[in-house]
Amino acid sequence: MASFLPDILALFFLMALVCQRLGVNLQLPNDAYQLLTYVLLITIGLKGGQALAYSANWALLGQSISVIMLGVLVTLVAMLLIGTFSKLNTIDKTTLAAHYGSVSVGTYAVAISFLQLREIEFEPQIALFVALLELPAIIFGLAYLSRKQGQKGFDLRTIFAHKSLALIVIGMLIGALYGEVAEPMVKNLKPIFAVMLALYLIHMGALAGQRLSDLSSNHMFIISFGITMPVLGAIMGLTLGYWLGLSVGGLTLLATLAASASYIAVPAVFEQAQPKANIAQALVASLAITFSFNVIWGIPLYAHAADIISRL
Amino acid sequence: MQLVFVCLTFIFLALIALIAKTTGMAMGSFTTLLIAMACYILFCLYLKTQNKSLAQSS
Repeated sequence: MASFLPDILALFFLMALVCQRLGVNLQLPNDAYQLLTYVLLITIGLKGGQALAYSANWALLGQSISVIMLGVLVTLVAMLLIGTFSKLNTIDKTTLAAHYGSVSVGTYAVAISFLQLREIEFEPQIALFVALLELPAIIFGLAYLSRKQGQKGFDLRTIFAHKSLALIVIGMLIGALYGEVAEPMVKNLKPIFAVMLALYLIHMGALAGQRLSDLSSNHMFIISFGITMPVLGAIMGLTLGYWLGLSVGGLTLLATLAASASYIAVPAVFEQAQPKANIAQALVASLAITFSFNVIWGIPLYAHAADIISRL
Repeated sequence: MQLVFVCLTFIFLALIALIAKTTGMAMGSFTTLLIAMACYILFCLYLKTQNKSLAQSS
Protein backbone atom coordinates (compact mmCIF):
# COMPACT_ATOMS: atom_id res chain seq x y z
CA MET A 1 0.00 0.00 0.00
CA ALA A 2 2.72 2.47 1.07
CA SER A 3 4.53 2.09 -2.28
CA PHE A 4 1.55 3.63 -4.07
CA LEU A 5 1.55 6.70 -1.85
CA PRO A 6 3.68 9.80 -2.35
CA ASP A 7 6.52 10.61 0.07
CA ILE A 8 5.39 11.03 3.71
CA LEU A 9 6.32 14.74 3.81
CA ALA A 10 4.66 15.35 0.44
CA LEU A 11 1.43 13.95 1.86
CA PHE A 12 1.50 16.44 4.76
CA PHE A 13 1.82 19.21 2.19
CA LEU A 14 -0.86 17.78 -0.10
CA MET A 15 -3.38 17.28 2.72
CA ALA A 16 -2.91 20.85 3.99
CA LEU A 17 -3.40 22.15 0.43
CA VAL A 18 -6.61 20.15 -0.03
CA CYS A 19 -7.89 21.26 3.41
CA GLN A 20 -7.24 24.90 2.52
CA ARG A 21 -9.18 24.52 -0.74
CA LEU A 22 -12.04 22.96 1.27
CA GLY A 23 -12.05 25.92 3.64
CA VAL A 24 -10.03 24.52 6.58
CA ASN A 25 -7.17 26.92 7.23
CA LEU A 26 -4.16 25.07 8.67
CA GLN A 27 -1.73 28.00 8.47
CA LEU A 28 0.47 28.49 11.52
CA PRO A 29 0.64 31.84 13.30
CA ASN A 30 3.37 33.99 11.72
CA ASP A 31 5.66 33.79 14.79
CA ALA A 32 5.51 29.99 14.81
CA TYR A 33 6.31 29.91 11.08
CA GLN A 34 9.27 32.24 11.64
CA LEU A 35 10.57 29.97 14.42
CA LEU A 36 10.30 26.92 12.14
CA THR A 37 12.28 28.64 9.36
CA TYR A 38 14.95 29.68 11.91
CA VAL A 39 15.35 26.08 13.09
CA LEU A 40 15.44 24.67 9.54
CA LEU A 41 17.92 27.26 8.24
CA ILE A 42 20.24 27.05 11.25
CA THR A 43 20.22 23.22 11.14
CA ILE A 44 21.04 23.18 7.41
CA GLY A 45 23.77 25.80 7.89
CA LEU A 46 25.33 24.10 10.94
CA LYS A 47 25.45 20.67 9.30
CA GLY A 48 26.89 22.09 6.09
CA GLY A 49 29.48 24.20 7.88
CA GLN A 50 30.52 21.34 10.12
CA ALA A 51 30.98 19.03 7.15
CA LEU A 52 32.84 21.73 5.23
CA ALA A 53 35.33 22.07 8.07
CA TYR A 54 36.48 18.51 7.32
CA SER A 55 36.44 18.66 3.54
CA ALA A 56 37.36 22.21 2.38
CA ASN A 57 39.80 22.19 -0.55
CA TRP A 58 40.75 24.21 -3.63
CA ALA A 59 38.49 22.16 -5.92
CA LEU A 60 35.59 23.65 -3.98
CA LEU A 61 36.38 27.08 -5.39
CA GLY A 62 35.95 25.85 -8.98
CA GLN A 63 32.75 24.02 -8.00
CA SER A 64 31.39 27.15 -6.37
CA ILE A 65 32.03 29.26 -9.48
CA SER A 66 30.29 26.71 -11.71
CA VAL A 67 27.31 26.60 -9.32
CA ILE A 68 27.04 30.41 -9.47
CA MET A 69 27.06 30.15 -13.28
CA LEU A 70 24.26 27.58 -12.99
CA GLY A 71 22.13 30.15 -11.15
CA VAL A 72 22.63 32.68 -13.97
CA LEU A 73 22.00 30.04 -16.66
CA VAL A 74 18.69 28.95 -15.09
CA THR A 75 17.60 32.61 -14.96
CA LEU A 76 18.53 33.11 -18.62
CA VAL A 77 16.63 29.97 -19.73
CA ALA A 78 13.59 31.10 -17.71
CA MET A 79 13.74 34.55 -19.33
CA LEU A 80 13.97 32.97 -22.78
CA LEU A 81 10.98 30.72 -22.10
CA ILE A 82 8.87 33.55 -20.68
CA GLY A 83 9.86 35.89 -23.53
CA THR A 84 8.94 33.31 -26.19
CA PHE A 85 5.64 32.01 -24.84
CA SER A 86 4.09 34.88 -22.87
CA LYS A 87 3.29 38.54 -23.27
CA LEU A 88 4.69 39.63 -19.90
CA ASN A 89 6.45 42.99 -19.79
CA THR A 90 10.20 43.25 -19.09
CA ILE A 91 9.83 43.87 -15.34
CA ASP A 92 7.43 40.95 -14.78
CA LYS A 93 9.47 38.69 -17.07
CA THR A 94 12.70 39.39 -15.17
CA THR A 95 11.00 39.14 -11.76
CA LEU A 96 9.51 35.74 -12.59
CA ALA A 97 12.80 34.49 -14.06
CA ALA A 98 14.76 35.65 -10.97
CA HIS A 99 12.42 33.60 -8.74
CA TYR A 100 13.38 30.48 -10.72
CA GLY A 101 17.09 31.30 -10.88
CA SER A 102 17.24 31.51 -7.09
CA VAL A 103 16.54 28.61 -4.71
CA SER A 104 14.01 27.47 -2.12
CA VAL A 105 15.53 26.28 1.16
CA GLY A 106 12.21 24.60 2.02
CA THR A 107 12.41 22.37 -1.07
CA TYR A 108 16.06 21.63 -0.24
CA ALA A 109 15.09 20.60 3.31
CA VAL A 110 12.45 18.21 1.92
CA ALA A 111 15.06 16.71 -0.46
CA ILE A 112 17.49 16.20 2.46
CA SER A 113 14.78 14.46 4.45
CA PHE A 114 13.92 12.33 1.38
CA LEU A 115 17.56 11.19 1.13
CA GLN A 116 17.94 10.64 4.89
CA LEU A 117 14.86 8.40 4.98
CA ARG A 118 16.47 6.25 2.28
CA GLU A 119 19.91 6.47 3.90
CA ILE A 120 21.49 8.03 0.80
CA GLU A 121 24.70 9.96 1.49
CA PHE A 122 25.44 13.35 -0.08
CA GLU A 123 28.39 15.75 -0.32
CA PRO A 124 28.72 18.34 2.50
CA GLN A 125 29.47 21.22 0.12
CA ILE A 126 25.85 21.23 -1.14
CA ALA A 127 24.92 23.41 1.89
CA LEU A 128 27.41 25.99 0.60
CA PHE A 129 25.77 25.78 -2.84
CA VAL A 130 22.40 26.69 -1.26
CA ALA A 131 23.84 29.96 0.03
CA LEU A 132 25.67 30.61 -3.26
CA LEU A 133 22.59 29.95 -5.43
CA GLU A 134 20.41 32.43 -3.51
CA LEU A 135 22.12 35.46 -5.01
CA PRO A 136 23.17 35.26 -8.72
CA ALA A 137 19.60 35.40 -10.07
CA ILE A 138 18.73 38.40 -7.88
CA ILE A 139 21.88 40.32 -8.86
CA PHE A 140 21.49 39.40 -12.54
CA GLY A 141 17.78 40.31 -12.58
CA LEU A 142 18.23 43.65 -10.85
CA ALA A 143 21.30 44.54 -12.97
CA TYR A 144 19.36 43.69 -16.15
CA LEU A 145 16.38 45.83 -15.09
CA SER A 146 18.61 48.73 -14.01
CA ARG A 147 20.24 48.71 -17.43
CA LYS A 148 16.88 48.52 -19.22
CA GLN A 149 15.53 51.39 -17.15
CA GLY A 150 18.66 53.46 -17.68
CA GLN A 151 19.59 53.52 -13.99
CA LYS A 152 23.19 53.57 -12.81
CA GLY A 153 22.93 50.68 -10.38
CA PHE A 154 21.05 49.26 -7.40
CA ASP A 155 21.41 49.12 -3.64
CA LEU A 156 23.43 46.03 -2.73
CA ARG A 157 22.09 46.16 0.84
CA THR A 158 18.63 45.10 -0.39
CA ILE A 159 20.22 41.90 -1.71
CA PHE A 160 22.56 40.87 1.08
CA ALA A 161 20.52 42.07 4.05
CA HIS A 162 18.09 39.17 3.94
CA LYS A 163 17.25 36.92 6.86
CA SER A 164 17.27 33.51 5.16
CA LEU A 165 20.71 34.06 3.65
CA ALA A 166 22.07 35.51 6.90
CA LEU A 167 20.83 32.51 8.95
CA ILE A 168 22.39 29.92 6.63
CA VAL A 169 25.70 31.82 6.58
CA ILE A 170 25.68 32.18 10.40
CA GLY A 171 24.98 28.46 10.79
CA MET A 172 27.71 27.54 8.31
CA LEU A 173 30.28 29.83 9.92
CA ILE A 174 29.61 28.45 13.41
CA GLY A 175 29.53 24.87 12.10
CA ALA A 176 32.83 25.35 10.22
CA LEU A 177 34.57 27.14 13.11
CA TYR A 178 33.53 24.76 15.86
CA GLY A 179 33.49 21.47 13.91
CA GLU A 180 33.29 18.62 16.44
CA VAL A 181 32.44 20.96 19.33
CA ALA A 182 29.11 21.74 17.59
CA GLU A 183 28.32 18.01 17.28
CA PRO A 184 26.06 17.72 20.39
CA MET A 185 23.97 20.66 19.19
CA VAL A 186 23.61 19.15 15.68
CA LYS A 187 22.70 15.78 17.23
CA ASN A 188 19.95 17.41 19.30
CA LEU A 189 18.56 19.22 16.27
CA LYS A 190 18.46 16.08 14.10
CA PRO A 191 15.42 14.30 15.68
CA ILE A 192 13.27 17.46 15.62
CA PHE A 193 14.21 18.32 12.02
CA ALA A 194 11.65 15.94 10.45
CA VAL A 195 8.84 17.08 12.78
CA MET A 196 9.66 20.74 12.17
CA LEU A 197 9.70 20.05 8.43
CA ALA A 198 6.30 18.33 8.59
CA LEU A 199 4.83 21.36 10.41
CA TYR A 200 6.52 23.69 7.93
CA LEU A 201 4.99 21.74 5.03
CA ILE A 202 1.51 21.90 6.59
CA HIS A 203 1.87 25.68 6.71
CA MET A 204 3.26 25.85 3.15
CA GLY A 205 0.49 23.54 1.84
CA ALA A 206 -2.14 25.85 3.32
CA LEU A 207 -0.32 28.89 1.89
CA ALA A 208 -0.06 27.28 -1.57
CA GLY A 209 -3.78 26.41 -1.45
CA GLN A 210 -4.58 30.03 -0.64
CA ARG A 211 -2.26 31.36 -3.36
CA LEU A 212 -3.97 29.24 -6.04
CA SER A 213 -6.88 31.68 -5.87
CA ASP A 214 -4.56 34.49 -7.02
CA LEU A 215 -4.06 33.09 -10.54
CA SER A 216 -4.24 35.99 -12.98
CA SER A 217 -5.24 36.18 -16.64
CA ASN A 218 -1.95 34.46 -17.54
CA HIS A 219 -2.97 31.32 -15.60
CA MET A 220 -2.46 28.87 -18.50
CA PHE A 221 1.09 30.08 -19.01
CA ILE A 222 1.87 30.33 -15.29
CA ILE A 223 0.78 26.73 -14.58
CA SER A 224 2.67 25.35 -17.58
CA PHE A 225 5.76 27.40 -16.76
CA GLY A 226 5.60 26.40 -13.08
CA ILE A 227 5.80 22.74 -14.11
CA THR A 228 8.15 22.91 -17.10
CA MET A 229 10.78 25.20 -15.59
CA PRO A 230 11.66 23.03 -12.57
CA VAL A 231 12.17 20.00 -14.81
CA LEU A 232 14.41 22.03 -17.14
CA GLY A 233 16.29 23.40 -14.11
CA ALA A 234 16.72 19.87 -12.75
CA ILE A 235 18.18 18.74 -16.11
CA MET A 236 20.72 21.60 -15.92
CA GLY A 237 21.51 20.76 -12.29
CA LEU A 238 21.97 17.07 -13.09
CA THR A 239 24.26 17.91 -16.02
CA LEU A 240 26.46 20.12 -13.84
CA GLY A 241 26.40 17.60 -10.99
CA TYR A 242 27.51 14.81 -13.34
CA TRP A 243 30.32 17.02 -14.64
CA LEU A 244 31.40 17.79 -11.05
CA GLY A 245 31.36 14.06 -10.25
CA LEU A 246 28.75 14.24 -7.46
CA SER A 247 27.23 11.15 -5.83
CA VAL A 248 23.56 10.10 -6.23
CA GLY A 249 22.63 12.17 -3.17
CA GLY A 250 24.63 15.19 -4.36
CA LEU A 251 23.11 14.95 -7.84
CA THR A 252 19.60 14.79 -6.38
CA LEU A 253 20.21 17.84 -4.19
CA LEU A 254 21.80 19.93 -6.94
CA ALA A 255 18.95 19.02 -9.31
CA THR A 256 16.43 19.96 -6.59
CA LEU A 257 18.18 23.29 -6.00
CA ALA A 258 18.21 24.12 -9.72
CA ALA A 259 14.56 23.04 -9.99
CA SER A 260 13.35 25.02 -6.99
CA ALA A 261 12.08 28.58 -7.09
CA SER A 262 12.51 31.18 -4.37
CA TYR A 263 9.43 32.38 -2.50
CA ILE A 264 11.07 34.20 0.42
CA ALA A 265 14.25 36.08 -0.56
CA VAL A 266 13.50 37.09 -4.18
CA PRO A 267 9.97 38.46 -3.58
CA ALA A 268 11.26 40.49 -0.61
CA VAL A 269 14.17 41.97 -2.58
CA PHE A 270 12.21 42.68 -5.77
CA GLU A 271 9.29 44.20 -3.87
CA GLN A 272 11.74 46.73 -2.46
CA ALA A 273 13.89 47.29 -5.55
CA GLN A 274 11.16 47.13 -8.24
CA PRO A 275 7.84 48.31 -6.78
CA LYS A 276 6.08 47.93 -10.15
CA ALA A 277 6.90 44.21 -10.45
CA ASN A 278 4.01 41.73 -10.24
CA ILE A 279 5.23 39.83 -7.18
CA ALA A 280 1.87 38.08 -6.60
CA GLN A 281 2.04 36.38 -10.00
CA ALA A 282 5.61 35.20 -9.41
CA LEU A 283 4.63 33.89 -5.96
CA VAL A 284 1.73 31.87 -7.38
CA ALA A 285 4.12 30.27 -9.86
CA SER A 286 6.96 29.61 -7.41
CA LEU A 287 4.97 28.64 -4.33
CA ALA A 288 1.59 27.30 -5.44
CA ILE A 289 2.77 25.52 -8.59
CA THR A 290 6.52 24.81 -8.48
CA PHE A 291 6.93 24.15 -4.74
CA SER A 292 3.93 21.79 -4.87
CA PHE A 293 5.26 20.06 -7.98
CA ASN A 294 8.76 19.62 -6.52
CA VAL A 295 7.63 18.37 -3.11
CA ILE A 296 5.03 15.92 -4.41
CA TRP A 297 6.55 14.63 -7.64
CA GLY A 298 9.77 16.43 -8.52
CA ILE A 299 12.15 15.19 -5.81
CA PRO A 300 11.46 11.43 -6.36
CA LEU A 301 11.81 12.06 -10.10
CA TYR A 302 15.17 13.86 -9.69
CA ALA A 303 16.40 11.13 -7.32
CA HIS A 304 15.49 8.52 -9.90
CA ALA A 305 17.25 10.46 -12.68
CA ALA A 306 20.30 10.95 -10.41
CA ASP A 307 20.42 7.21 -9.77
CA ILE A 308 20.42 6.49 -13.52
CA ILE A 309 23.03 9.18 -14.31
CA SER A 310 25.40 8.05 -11.55
CA ARG A 311 25.44 4.57 -13.10
CA LEU A 312 26.54 5.90 -16.53
CA MET B 1 1.29 30.98 -28.23
CA GLN B 2 0.20 30.12 -24.68
CA LEU B 3 -1.77 27.13 -25.96
CA VAL B 4 1.34 25.88 -27.80
CA PHE B 5 3.24 26.09 -24.53
CA VAL B 6 0.51 24.19 -22.68
CA CYS B 7 0.60 21.43 -25.35
CA LEU B 8 4.40 21.32 -25.21
CA THR B 9 4.26 21.04 -21.40
CA PHE B 10 1.89 18.09 -21.67
CA ILE B 11 4.12 16.33 -24.25
CA PHE B 12 7.17 17.07 -22.07
CA LEU B 13 5.50 15.60 -18.97
CA ALA B 14 4.26 12.56 -20.88
CA LEU B 15 7.77 11.95 -22.20
CA ILE B 16 9.27 12.20 -18.72
CA ALA B 17 6.64 9.83 -17.31
CA LEU B 18 7.41 7.38 -20.12
CA ILE B 19 11.18 7.57 -19.55
CA ALA B 20 10.65 7.23 -15.79
CA LYS B 21 8.53 4.12 -16.27
CA THR B 22 10.81 2.45 -18.81
CA THR B 23 13.86 3.07 -16.59
CA GLY B 24 12.16 1.40 -13.63
CA MET B 25 11.00 4.27 -11.44
CA ALA B 26 9.26 3.13 -8.23
CA MET B 27 5.56 2.44 -8.83
CA GLY B 28 4.35 4.88 -6.14
CA SER B 29 6.20 7.82 -7.65
CA PHE B 30 5.22 6.86 -11.17
CA THR B 31 1.55 6.64 -10.22
CA THR B 32 1.66 10.06 -8.60
CA LEU B 33 3.40 11.46 -11.68
CA LEU B 34 0.54 10.18 -13.84
CA ILE B 35 -2.00 11.64 -11.41
CA ALA B 36 -0.10 14.94 -11.61
CA MET B 37 -0.44 14.97 -15.38
CA ALA B 38 -4.15 14.21 -15.20
CA CYS B 39 -4.66 16.93 -12.57
CA TYR B 40 -2.73 19.39 -14.71
CA ILE B 41 -4.90 18.77 -17.78
CA LEU B 42 -8.12 18.92 -15.75
CA PHE B 43 -7.07 22.11 -14.02
CA CYS B 44 -6.19 23.78 -17.35
CA LEU B 45 -9.52 22.72 -18.84
CA TYR B 46 -11.37 23.96 -15.76
CA LEU B 47 -9.68 27.35 -15.97
CA LYS B 48 -10.41 27.58 -19.68
CA THR B 49 -14.12 26.85 -19.11
CA GLN B 50 -14.22 29.38 -16.30
CA ASN B 51 -12.66 32.00 -18.59
CA LYS B 52 -15.23 31.27 -21.33
CA SER B 53 -18.18 31.63 -18.95
CA LEU B 54 -16.69 34.86 -17.62
CA ALA B 55 -16.32 36.22 -21.16
CA GLN B 56 -19.91 35.22 -22.00
CA SER B 57 -21.36 36.84 -18.88
CA SER B 58 -19.56 40.11 -19.58
